[in-house]
Amino acid sequence: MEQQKNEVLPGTLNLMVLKTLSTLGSLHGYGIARRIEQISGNLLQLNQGTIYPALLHLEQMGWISSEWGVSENNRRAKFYSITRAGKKQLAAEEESWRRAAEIIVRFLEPTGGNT
Amino acid sequence: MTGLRVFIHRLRGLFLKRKLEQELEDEIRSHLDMQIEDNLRRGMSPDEARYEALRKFGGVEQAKENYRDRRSLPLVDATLQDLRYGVRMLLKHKGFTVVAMLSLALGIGVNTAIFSVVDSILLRPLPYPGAERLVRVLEANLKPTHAWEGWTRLGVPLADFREWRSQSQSFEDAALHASGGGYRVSEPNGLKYLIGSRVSLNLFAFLGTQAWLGRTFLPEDEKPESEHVVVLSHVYWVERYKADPHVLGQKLVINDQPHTIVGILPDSFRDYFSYSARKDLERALPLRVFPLDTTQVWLPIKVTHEAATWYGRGGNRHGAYQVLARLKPGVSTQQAQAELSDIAARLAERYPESNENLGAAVYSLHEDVTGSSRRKLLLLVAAFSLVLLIACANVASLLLARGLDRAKELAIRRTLGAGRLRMLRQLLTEYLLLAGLGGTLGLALAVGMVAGIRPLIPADIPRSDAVTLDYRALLFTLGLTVLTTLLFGLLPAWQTAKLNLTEELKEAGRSVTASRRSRRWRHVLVAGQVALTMILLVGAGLLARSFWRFYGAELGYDMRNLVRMRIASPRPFARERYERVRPTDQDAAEWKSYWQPLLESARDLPGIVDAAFTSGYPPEGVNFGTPLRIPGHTPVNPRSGPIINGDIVSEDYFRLLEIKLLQGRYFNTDDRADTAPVIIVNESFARTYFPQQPTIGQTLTLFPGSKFEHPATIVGVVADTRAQLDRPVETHHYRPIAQVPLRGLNLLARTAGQPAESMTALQDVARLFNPNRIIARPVTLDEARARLTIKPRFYLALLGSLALLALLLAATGIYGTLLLAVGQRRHEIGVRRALGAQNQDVLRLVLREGLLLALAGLGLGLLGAWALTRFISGWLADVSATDPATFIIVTVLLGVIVLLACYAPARRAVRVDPLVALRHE
Repeated sequence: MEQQKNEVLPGTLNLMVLKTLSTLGSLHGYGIARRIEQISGNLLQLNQGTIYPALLHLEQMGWISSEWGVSENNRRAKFYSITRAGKKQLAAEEESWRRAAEIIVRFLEPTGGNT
Repeated sequence: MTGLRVFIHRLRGLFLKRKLEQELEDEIRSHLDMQIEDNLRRGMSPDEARYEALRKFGGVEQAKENYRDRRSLPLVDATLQDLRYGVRMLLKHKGFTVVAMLSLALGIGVNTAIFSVVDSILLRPLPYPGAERLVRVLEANLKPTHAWEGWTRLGVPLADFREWRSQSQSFEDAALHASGGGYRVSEPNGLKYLIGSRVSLNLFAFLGTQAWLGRTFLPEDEKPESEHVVVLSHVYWVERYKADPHVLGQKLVINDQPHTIVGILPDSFRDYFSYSARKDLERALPLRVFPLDTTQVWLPIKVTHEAATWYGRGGNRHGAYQVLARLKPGVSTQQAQAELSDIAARLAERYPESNENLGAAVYSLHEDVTGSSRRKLLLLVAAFSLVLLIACANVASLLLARGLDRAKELAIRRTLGAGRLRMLRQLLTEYLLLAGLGGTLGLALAVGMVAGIRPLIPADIPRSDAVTLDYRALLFTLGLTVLTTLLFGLLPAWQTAKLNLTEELKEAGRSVTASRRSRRWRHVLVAGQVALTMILLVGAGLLARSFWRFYGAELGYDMRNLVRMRIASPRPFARERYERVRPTDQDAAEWKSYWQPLLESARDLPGIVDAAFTSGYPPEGVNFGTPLRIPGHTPVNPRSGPIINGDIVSEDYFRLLEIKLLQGRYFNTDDRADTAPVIIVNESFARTYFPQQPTIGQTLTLFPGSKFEHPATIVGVVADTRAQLDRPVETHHYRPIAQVPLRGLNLLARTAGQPAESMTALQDVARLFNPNRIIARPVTLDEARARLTIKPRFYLALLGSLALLALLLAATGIYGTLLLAVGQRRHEIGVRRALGAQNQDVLRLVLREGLLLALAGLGLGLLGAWALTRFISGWLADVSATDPATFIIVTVLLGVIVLLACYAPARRAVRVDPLVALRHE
């Protein structure tokens, strides 16, 4: 039976990546993808490949940095970690998303006198 | 800030492409490997694990492509890719590349070269501070009356200048000069005329120049009673004093007055501002005994009390000056003109006697200096851009033809997903590369051409000494390269980009007939080339005809072995008014004691056959007209009459030049100062003014309405000659020397063999009789003619070589286009031959295409030339701008060349072997 999966909302991938890196510290691309899938409870339809252009973008913006390292099972991989600017950006984005979500939730929840 | 960071990052991506590409590859591989490992651990089979990993990743190549777009600058990246591709394509089609590149190099090269010339002479600011605000100010003669002899611009008397200066607000600063005067200077080997200028003290500072050695003028130099001083030009200092620095403080005798040399001007100083004054002098005084190229001696204006207050007002304009002024920033020439006109009007009210009808004229110095050559140079620019157009058409038609060959390749790329815009961009990049190569080569060509042209530029074009190729020309080449790319590239690119995919893929396999629309365009281009070439050829042809008509032709008598020597008047230059009065006893004595013995001794010299005097100046001619009242003719201006050029000649003049007598008699010894004045006219004169009546015995009134008015009776009619090399035969008259007092004359002598030795002897004889006279170096008339033709020859050579270049380009264009057409129609021709077409049929097939093109081009060209040649009518002396002979000759010439260019490809078509052509597919 096929589970119904959601598309990644535009702009949210960056946020997810930043949050992941801020929680788990240094991580490689595959790890980040796995983590996003896990957190979303496998409800998210993520093309893992899309994560790389996103990582490049974040790096170009100076929000994350990267360096080559060796994975837990001895594989050469590029490890990403969040920078100070990235943390600031994350905080700002988290705040704006929380607010946006709140507004949406308010719209969707039936309020007292309206029925 | 972030934008810059991203840009730097991306720039890095551009240069580290290979390394980063490898890293991306590694990263993705390790990602997939980790996923596969996890999958295997979950118990999938190896195949399943791999498949699942790839599925989850979702399109490796797509991800890479997205990544790449973000990693570097896609536009630059793609352009680099296009460039590499372009280089490969150009290398692959070497023949095409060479022809196209050479076409462009020629087009761009000649245009860059002419730009440098035009820029240096016309466009660059004059080398003075605030040059763009410099103006020339003169008094305007609002009612040109007899008194000022028709001059419309007059010098400014000091008194008026001071009034202007104190009352006007428009100017920042002003200086005065009286340039273009001839000054007699004593040199070790006799007297010599130098060109000099009297200037106000501030002139050099005003023009941003200091003395290179010594000083310029100081306030005390202006006082009439103080010692005379002179500043020398660098050129003269080097020439006369061999650049001796101890010359300061020495005396130089100028106009019989010793002057102390106080300064030398820098080598870089140029007196462009006095150009028109020097030009005016040349027009007014035909006594070209000194070179007019630059001012050699500079003297201060001596300000007398009279001059500062009144001098020059009473009708004597000898104390008048040219004003150079610098406008205040933001003030326009018109504003300054309006202000000065008001002031002049107030002066006219206050001093009606001297200033009535006098206004002010303000004009830009830059225009004044460049104006004389502007029109011709701009016409040259127009002609040169035609050549560029022809070159572009050449390349465009080659590209169109090649576009057909490439149709298949491009169609395949379209099918593989290349966007239309992307392909357009790629094509344009390729073309830009081609143009860039052409431009670079063109620039090199231009450097060579400018070096070649520079010595040929006539020195009397102001600023011809400053012609250089500088960064502006470089920018111009760059702009031209882009422009040409658009010109030649847009049409083929557009044609190619709108290819119909299925059609092309179907057709390209067979290439039966060339695509129709592309052929149509190529025909338009070829016809256009022929038309443009036609216009250039007609222009050059007309100029050549006009050139030969005058400069190549004789004056109406045998010019060979004729030598001319100017013996100047001992007085400084002033218009020779005394020519108007009857001679005095003193004049007669001078004739007897100086001129007559001189003439006889000259005739006796070995190697001299005959000699005579004339006031005329063949072959340059003299624009020195005499107002005449002619019986039976009411003049337009009742105060005077027609002004007709005339010469004053000795009685043997006609014999020397073998000018035939048609009626009456020549002058003889009975025409003396004390006998009735006589005059001889030429055939044109007689025909124009006395078509019915007998000419001999008519009495003309010379200088009517003036105090010099007197009658003269026509005693002879002689054959027509031309007085001036650049003019046709005109009405002309002669008066005998004995009846007109003259202070300066030309000695004309015919030598027996080589004139060289006789010339020195002539000069020595002339010196012997009076060492105080200024005697110009004798020249042969042929020599003078050669010098006179430098300028027209320059323009003619330039336009002529341009026309030939155009012809060459157009012929290559037609040849190339038809050759390609034949190549593309091989199959068709093969089929026709197989079906029994004979040689003539094939020949006709190809020739018809070429001929139709040629006819269309020639027709268009005729129309174009007809419409455009009127713009050069000013250059054409006595040749109509629509001269039928030129049009016919050019049409035939161009027609023949076009036919030849068509014939070679047609021969090629005849040689097509049907078997080979058909098997080829």
